[in-house]
Amino acid sequence: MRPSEAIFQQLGGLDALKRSVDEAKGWLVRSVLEQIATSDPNARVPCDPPSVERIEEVLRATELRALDLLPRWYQDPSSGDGQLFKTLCSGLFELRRALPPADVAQTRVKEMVLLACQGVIGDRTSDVRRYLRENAWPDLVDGSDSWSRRVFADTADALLRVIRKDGWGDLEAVAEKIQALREAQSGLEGEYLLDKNGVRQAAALELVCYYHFAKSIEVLGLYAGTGEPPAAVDEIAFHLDKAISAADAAGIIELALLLRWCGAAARCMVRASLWHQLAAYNSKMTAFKKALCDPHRRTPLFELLPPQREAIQEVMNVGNRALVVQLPTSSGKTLLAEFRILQTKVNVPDAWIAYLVPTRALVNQVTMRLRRDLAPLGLKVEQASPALEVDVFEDELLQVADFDVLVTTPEKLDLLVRSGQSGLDGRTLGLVVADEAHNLGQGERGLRMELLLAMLNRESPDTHFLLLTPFVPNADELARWLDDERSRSISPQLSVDWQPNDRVVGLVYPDGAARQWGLSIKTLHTSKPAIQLEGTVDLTHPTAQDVPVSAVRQSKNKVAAVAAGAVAHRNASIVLAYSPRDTWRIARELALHTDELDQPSQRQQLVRGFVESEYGPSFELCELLDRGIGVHHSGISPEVRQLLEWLMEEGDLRTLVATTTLAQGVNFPVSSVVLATHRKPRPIGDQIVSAPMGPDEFWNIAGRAGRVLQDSLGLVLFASQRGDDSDLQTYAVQQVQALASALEQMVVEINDLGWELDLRRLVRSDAKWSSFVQFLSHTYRQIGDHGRFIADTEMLLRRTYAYRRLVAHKPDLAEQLVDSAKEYAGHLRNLPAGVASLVDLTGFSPETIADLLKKKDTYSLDVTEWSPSQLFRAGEEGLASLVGSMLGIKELRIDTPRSGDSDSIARLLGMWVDGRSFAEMASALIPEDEAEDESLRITECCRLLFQRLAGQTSWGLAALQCLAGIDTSGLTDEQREQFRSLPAMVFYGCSTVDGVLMRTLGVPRGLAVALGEQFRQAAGEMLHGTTLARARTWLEDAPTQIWENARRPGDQLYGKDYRNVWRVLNGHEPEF
Amino acid sequence: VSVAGLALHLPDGEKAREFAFLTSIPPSSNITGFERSDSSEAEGPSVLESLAACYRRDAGADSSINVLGYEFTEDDSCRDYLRDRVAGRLRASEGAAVLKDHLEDLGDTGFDLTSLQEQVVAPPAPKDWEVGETLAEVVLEDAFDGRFPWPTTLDKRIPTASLPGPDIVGFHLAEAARFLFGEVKSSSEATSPPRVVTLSNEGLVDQLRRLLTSPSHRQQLIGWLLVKSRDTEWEDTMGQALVRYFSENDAWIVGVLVRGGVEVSDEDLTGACDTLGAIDPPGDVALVAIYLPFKKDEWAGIVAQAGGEA
Repeated sequence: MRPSEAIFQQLGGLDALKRSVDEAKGWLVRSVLEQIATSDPNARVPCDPPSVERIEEVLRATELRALDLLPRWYQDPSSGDGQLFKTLCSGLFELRRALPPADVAQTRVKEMVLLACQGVIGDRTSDVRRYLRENAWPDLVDGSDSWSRRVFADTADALLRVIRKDGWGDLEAVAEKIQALREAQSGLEGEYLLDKNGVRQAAALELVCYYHFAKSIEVLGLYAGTGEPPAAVDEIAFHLDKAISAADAAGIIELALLLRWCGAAARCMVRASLWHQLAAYNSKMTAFKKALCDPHRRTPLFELLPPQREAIQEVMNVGNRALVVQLPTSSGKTLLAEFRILQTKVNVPDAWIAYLVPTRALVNQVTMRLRRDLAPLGLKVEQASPALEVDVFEDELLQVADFDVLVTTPEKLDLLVRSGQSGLDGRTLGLVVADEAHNLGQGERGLRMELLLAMLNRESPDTHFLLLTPFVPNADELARWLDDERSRSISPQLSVDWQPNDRVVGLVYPDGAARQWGLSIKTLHTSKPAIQLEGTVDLTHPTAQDVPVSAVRQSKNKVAAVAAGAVAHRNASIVLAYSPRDTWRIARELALHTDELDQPSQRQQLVRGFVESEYGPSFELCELLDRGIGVHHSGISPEVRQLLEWLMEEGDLRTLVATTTLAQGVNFPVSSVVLATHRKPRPIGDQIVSAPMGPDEFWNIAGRAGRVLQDSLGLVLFASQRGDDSDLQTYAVQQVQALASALEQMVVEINDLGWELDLRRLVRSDAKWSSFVQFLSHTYRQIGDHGRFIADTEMLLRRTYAYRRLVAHKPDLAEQLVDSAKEYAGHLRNLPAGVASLVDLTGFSPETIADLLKKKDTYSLDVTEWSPSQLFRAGEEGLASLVGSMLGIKELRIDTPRSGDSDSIARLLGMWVDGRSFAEMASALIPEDEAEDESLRITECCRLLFQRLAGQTSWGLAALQCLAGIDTSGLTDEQREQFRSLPAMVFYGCSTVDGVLMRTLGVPRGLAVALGEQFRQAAGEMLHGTTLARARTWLEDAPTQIWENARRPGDQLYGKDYRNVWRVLNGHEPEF
Repeated sequence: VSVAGLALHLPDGEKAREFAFLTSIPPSSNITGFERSDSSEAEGPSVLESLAACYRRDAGADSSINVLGYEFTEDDSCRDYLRDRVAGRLRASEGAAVLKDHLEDLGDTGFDLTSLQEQVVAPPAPKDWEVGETLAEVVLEDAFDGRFPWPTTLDKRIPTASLPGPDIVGFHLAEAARFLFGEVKSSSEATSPPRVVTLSNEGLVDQLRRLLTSPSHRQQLIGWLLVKSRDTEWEDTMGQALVRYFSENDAWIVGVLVRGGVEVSDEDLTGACDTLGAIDPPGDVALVAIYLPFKKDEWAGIVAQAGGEA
């Protein structure tokens, strides 16, 4: 055993290091909590002296061990010793970070250089960068300094900037500083040498050392920004080696050691850079790298995060046909997908890529992101709306099909593929990216995705698959499902537990008596890494309060509100509530203790104005926004939700009170998450029950606490009425389960109930079986031969994840599934001609189609009745009768107590399409005595509309149009377009074809019709591209006056405001 | 060989720890016939012939520090020692050649080489403090089994150094090697103790105090020795020293005061001994005064006389 190892072990080895790191983190966390408790951003709980001594002792032994391992790491970083070296460096970073900073500026800077270098080597770059943003280093240079002091100070400053990379400003400063040194050299160097140099030439060697050091940092900065020179790694190593050798020769011990750490860190930085990671691929990749680093980009991307770095090479390897990449929340999965998309386009230039995301919000968000990143490289990114029908513009888009990437939901892609969109038929589907692929295990949404992937895999053997998930224990199984041989699951060792910052998961509860109380935190043991603290820590110190502690203890909602108030001054936080109703309660409670913003930003004013124009000035959200509080749930319109998310990202909201819908939809990180509940409503059949969030869901939300480069601590707090809660403790240690298949769970459930797996019966009693029988029906239709289908049933089912898992875990059920499918094929064989294609066109089961065909007269309106002016006119019965037919369609799930009867639904839809305000609709729909206040009424109305009616009735309407087989030959082109746009009018809530076009492009409802008209007038002048593309260009270029013209009389917002809202909704910066 | 009492010449079994050997030197006896501890060194035979112990104070209840005074009793012998041994060491570690090598690669950095090149052409003459430090180093080698494989000289005079680096960084070849760290001060000031001992911050006492009380300071020296010794003949020595340091809390810390042309006075170091004696030391501590018959400002001249002869 080497002496350094013996010494390290004698002190307790890695265990002791871990203990010390935990202790060090504990002190940091206490400081952050003290900052919250005192509202003093500089508050610091100093380590007690024995802790400091202990930490320093471990630090010394660790550092010595690391120094001894340094040559081994250089030889082979992936060797055991190399890995150990990295681990030790990460520990050194943690320990140094917690130690009290030196008083002397000169020493402080060196401390920071050492800390930063060790952090970089320990793969803690994002923590280091954040540390350097939070802790500025002293400026060492003043006029009286000696030359050598100045060279060192400026070079150290440059090095810290290269590491921090706070935009291009830092990198530009590096080049400027080093160049300035060269220019100042001649005036100052001679005098210094005369004064300090002796026979041993130490001062001269010192300067030699610094000049090499300066040069190496200059090259490093240049490389970080531009990838030039390509051989930077060698050039930097050359200069740093020379610098070290000069420091050694002069016996400048401190510097000689410091430079050794700098050398190792520089090597890590070069290797972590985009340029190095993606060197020697192809010109498209190079162009992409340049675009990512572009100085005009809001946040230029210079390097990959550690988990991305671990995954990137496998992601780029096109030999991997099926890839499952497991990366934690906020670790940049989309970027990896972008690289693979480019790689796919390089390999098969004509290919198109389907990018699947689970929600409408994500369709928008991902489209904007991909368009921003890939459009500069000439890639066309389009989105297909999540509406389960294809409107005229989408149809045109798909016919022309000149896009490279199509972002949509699995449900929509399923419909597009099955309905045989001709434009797509001729092109290779090169890659399917499935984001949030862990949804595979989640109910009907998961089932649809599973069957879609199975279908694509069967019908398109050249298609590659990239599944992005947070950690699931059986990712290998998932990858092998899609391809037995050419598959990989990547769960970078680093990434499983990688987090952008430290995390505390704990209970927060009121502690004290009567009116003298504060909030305490008690950390929970968790199944994923989180900092444990001994005893309890104050989130707010006990003080005299307005309300007695008993009042706060009444409910978790109240505790959550108080806790949210306590963390409100610390960047953005989310409060998670059980229901929309609870979000209002918490927000109201929070508002009582929150002052209005002194100076609302322009962004805040813009959103507030828009909310007022959409909901009316008395809508409670307006007043909440004045206090920096937002409310986010399914009863808020998608546009407003998106604007609230934007405010959060921009740091303009203190608190967003939200339901769990937020977790699925968006992708922005916050500083703190306060959970008023760990439960969520879960649909079981037609019932909604309260069930705990799955561990994966919880960690998905918890993972948002803490932002890369911004917060040193993510707080995840469960509101609790008392200081112990065994339920929550049990909950917090639950492990993420293996990802099962939704279909598999359904089969197991039927078996557990002792029922027969009779698909015909099952689909009639429970709509969730519809997707599976549609999958069988589609495949049956594709194969077109009963005998072959029967012979291949097992092969076909093998394509499903469910079957593969059943074969492995419950073989008898796998067999039953095959038998049931064969039996169902017998039923399919006897279906009337045309039913199977209607199944594919509508997304309904053969059973539903057969039923609907039988009662065709109930929805076969006369062609004239299908005109928008007729259909949506108040008092007309046409729409009500159509809705009546829809109520019976199991797949649509409209028939719930909340939905109301067909007349009230039709009335609501009529008002929705007519552009009436939410307040009007709410009043018409819900009598005033049925809801406590206007906010709740509007919430209920909007929930109904956005969660169910708009989407489901537009789907139903499209299906009924298709089934009714209406003869439109007598209509004019314009009328035919109107006819075909009816479902989209319902989906988007507007009454004209051009309005639909505008809505498709994200124009707010109130302006869509008027803007659409203006576009129609201008459209003649524009020749190129699809209508969608032309309209997008037109909107982008439209002057404020165009928007002003579209305003409704009495509107609170001006045209320029609407234009800005539109810009934000489309991922552009507003122009104030 | 009449070098009784010096560790390197004691039979292994008799090698006393805790500096018992030093107490065996009679206060006024002449120490003659020093031999170089490592005959393979290229610096020629030792000329240290007239170094006599002149006072001594042993560690005791009041202080954990040994104080030792040595005096060159003969001017010629001292002059020879300076001309031979000290000048030889200065020459061997003189940086011009190294600097010249380094300048060859410096062109790529974009910095101007003119001034530095001039340093190679006309190297500066040794400064008196360089002579003092070098003398201390070679005496520690010749008489006390110190070893200094890599010169560390001027760290503390480099304005960018945040901690004054010690002058003496090496090994003490005892039964098992241990680290030898030390500070050197030179003075011809008539008062006793001279200001170089007592000066705040820069003085011998304060610098030794830092060395004694700051583990992170010593850690840097150890870290550097570790990387320098790796894959060299010094690796085993380093290993032994590490173990002694971390397991037995043992190293040797010395403060050397080189006096020139002043009367021997045990007052020179007793105050320092009292001040530092209260510190719980990380090993053995000794304060050594070496009295030269020549004033400090003569040293460089004497050393320079060796130039032509070498």
